Amino acid sequence: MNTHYYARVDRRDFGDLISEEGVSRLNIETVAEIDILEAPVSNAVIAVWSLDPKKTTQLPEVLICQDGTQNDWAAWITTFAARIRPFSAYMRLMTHTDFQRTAKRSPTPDIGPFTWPAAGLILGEVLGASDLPDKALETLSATAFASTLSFVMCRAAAIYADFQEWSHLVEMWESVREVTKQRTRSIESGSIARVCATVMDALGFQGASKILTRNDTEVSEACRYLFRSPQRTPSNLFETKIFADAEHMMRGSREDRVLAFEEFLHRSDGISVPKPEIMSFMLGYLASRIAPGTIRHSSVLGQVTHRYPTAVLWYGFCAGFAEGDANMPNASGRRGVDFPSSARRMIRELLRPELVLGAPICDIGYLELIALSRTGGDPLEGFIKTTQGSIIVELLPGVCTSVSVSSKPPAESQVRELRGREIIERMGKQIERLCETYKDFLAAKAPGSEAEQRSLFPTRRKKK
Amino acid sequence: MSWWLDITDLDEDQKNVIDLPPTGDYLFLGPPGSGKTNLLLIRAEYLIRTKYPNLFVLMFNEPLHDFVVRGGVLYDVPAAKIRKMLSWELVLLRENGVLLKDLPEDDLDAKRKALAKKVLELLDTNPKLENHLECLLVDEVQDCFPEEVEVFFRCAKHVCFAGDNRQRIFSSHSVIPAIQERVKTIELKTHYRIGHEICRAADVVGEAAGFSSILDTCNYNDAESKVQFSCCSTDEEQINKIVEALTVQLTAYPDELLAVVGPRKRDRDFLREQLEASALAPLILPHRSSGSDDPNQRIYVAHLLEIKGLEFRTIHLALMQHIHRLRENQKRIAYTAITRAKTTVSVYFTGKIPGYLEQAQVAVEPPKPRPPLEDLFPKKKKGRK
Repeated sequence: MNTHYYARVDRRDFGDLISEEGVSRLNIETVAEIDILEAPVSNAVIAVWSLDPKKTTQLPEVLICQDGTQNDWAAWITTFAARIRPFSAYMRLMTHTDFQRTAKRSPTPDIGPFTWPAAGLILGEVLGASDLPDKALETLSATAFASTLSFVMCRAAAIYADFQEWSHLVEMWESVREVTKQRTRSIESGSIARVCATVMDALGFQGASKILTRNDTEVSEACRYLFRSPQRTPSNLFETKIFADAEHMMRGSREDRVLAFEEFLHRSDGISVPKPEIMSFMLGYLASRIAPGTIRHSSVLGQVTHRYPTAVLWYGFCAGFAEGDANMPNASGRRGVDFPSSARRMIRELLRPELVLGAPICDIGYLELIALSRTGGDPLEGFIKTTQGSIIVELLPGVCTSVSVSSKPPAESQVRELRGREIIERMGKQIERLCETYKDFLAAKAPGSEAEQRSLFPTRRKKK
Repeated sequence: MSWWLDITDLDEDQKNVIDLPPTGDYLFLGPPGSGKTNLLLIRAEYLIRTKYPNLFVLMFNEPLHDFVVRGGVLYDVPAAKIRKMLSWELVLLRENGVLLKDLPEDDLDAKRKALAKKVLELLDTNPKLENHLECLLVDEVQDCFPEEVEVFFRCAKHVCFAGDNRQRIFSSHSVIPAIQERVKTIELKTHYRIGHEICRAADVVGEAAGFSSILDTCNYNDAESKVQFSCCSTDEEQINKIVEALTVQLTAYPDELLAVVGPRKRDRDFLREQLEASALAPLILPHRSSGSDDPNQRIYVAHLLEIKGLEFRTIHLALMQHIHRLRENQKRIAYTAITRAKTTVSVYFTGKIPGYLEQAQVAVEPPKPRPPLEDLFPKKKKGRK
């Protein structure tokens, strides 16, 4: 059993957490089971360390606040403890409820047989959202994958076996992109969220259905089928005749499969589609059958991207299910998944173990980012970044997204504006100091001598 | 080439090769697609890393050299160490002040023999050049002349050859048995590149040339393969069919090389001319280049002797009614051409193809219903007319 160290810290004493001599003043206690820590009162947090802070002089790894006070605390710490800004790069601020839930979860993220389909889904989103060719996946960085919504949702599923707040997670992801002024992507986040939620729903995650519509039911059923029988085509799709015909042809040589897919495209073009969601899934599924287990044929979806933007996500997802022997009579063995090597790197990030009581790996936490964004300007200005050109934002403990930031030096006009701001700031401080001096001056004088006060500003009075 | 990236891709035979010490003379023998060229490059990389960097990897001709240099970036073998056999000899002679005026430029075989002779003379007059290299690694050695092999042995302390007698297309005499007497032979039994249907067709052609089967040792595990024969009424019809098939294949096999090959130079020129007049023109690789910096250029147009050592996802063997003009080497050339493909071989002809190709067609096409006995009699046939 590990010993953990904790201390209740009031707002007025928060500075003690930051300084070496301040820590010595704190009443630090030890506990073996960290999830039994009681909730603090609203004007205090419980700081938790994994090692004795009096020996290590480290910042706490977790700050536990009362439920519902997290936004206030984020704003407060950001404002009053600017010396360690962004504080969330060093410590996690969590509500008591979130802390208890996080403390109980398994330290090893796991999504079982969903790993490759999840990787495919993320690769599909990268392709679709950025209009990239398949080959680009070979050399994409891990941060590019981490910027996707599907990565965030799959990571949440891997870390929290009972995760339910999918809508909130999507909102957080969207907010981060909005406040950091990210480029608009080709696929709407709402559509991506529905694809991911459909998969989560099929995997049995509660709360995912809140994002879905009635049209997504069939797709969810098809996903469930695939999880149960990954080598077989979801039976409910056969209700659509053109799909059944195309699926029947999706055997034999790769050229024949391309022709079968093109025939499906041609036939689907001429029919009305009451449920585009299932058509999108069918397109992705059939495209993935051209070379199962690979992501090399997203180009076949090019001509329907405008009508079915999420088909490429489904393509990636379905590609994560390798082909069975039945469809490859001549092969000496079943082919496995053969994704670009960058996919393994991404999976490493997806399943990276995350200690609750360990320093976060992010550059800033969600709550602090939002708090900073409220004051206008660039909330990421001047921050130390893990990677040049991008910032890692932690949405939930262990669930991060990355956003790109400009690494270019500011333009001349920006420099001028910055200088202007500096001058105004300096002047403002001088005025504040003057006001303080004036107040002291007034306090020293007898109250009510307004005339004397006025006399301090002869020019102003003249103008009046 | 289906380049290997790590040890997990190797079978036991191949592991025997990577287990070899850095010194010693070796010959890697194996069927098409068994990874001989890869092993040669891996060995070169290993030798460079074990303090034997003074080496060259020799390729038979320009397209193969180009192909290997492009794929070789996956290994740490500098492009400068991968050379064409002839140009390596020419540089060696020039470096040592040998005049090269009287080379027979019109006859490649004669030129090769003359060059090899000049190198041997140089070695005689300048004994310091004997064994001046740590190692020479030579691909496609089955097509070398004995003089050339002697050059390799004398120029390098160690030699490493890769070859396959079945793929000998330039010479009717094999140097392999003579090499085997001087070096340790490592035989690779299985192969991975060639689809089962293609092996079936290759075996029929190979049988006619006295080769053993490659279907039995096939470990191919990729998209389903096929071999198809198209008898066309005109050569232009062949082109139309090729263009149609290539259009689908470009989508089916993204980023992979596809080949259109005719038996002779004039056939290649006809094919190039016709294809360059089609919508596929921007996708055709420049003459004798097996790769390009433009990733869209993926169609290699060549004649049968220009595809030695290369590999393609699909190959279109066009104008095959003319293959008989390659005379005594035609079966080996046809065999080599068929085994260049991984997944699809399409054979086109107007009129007749040789019997060994007809037999291959029978082997890969579904069996036709047996004709009624009375149809075999001339009387009945007449009546039909």
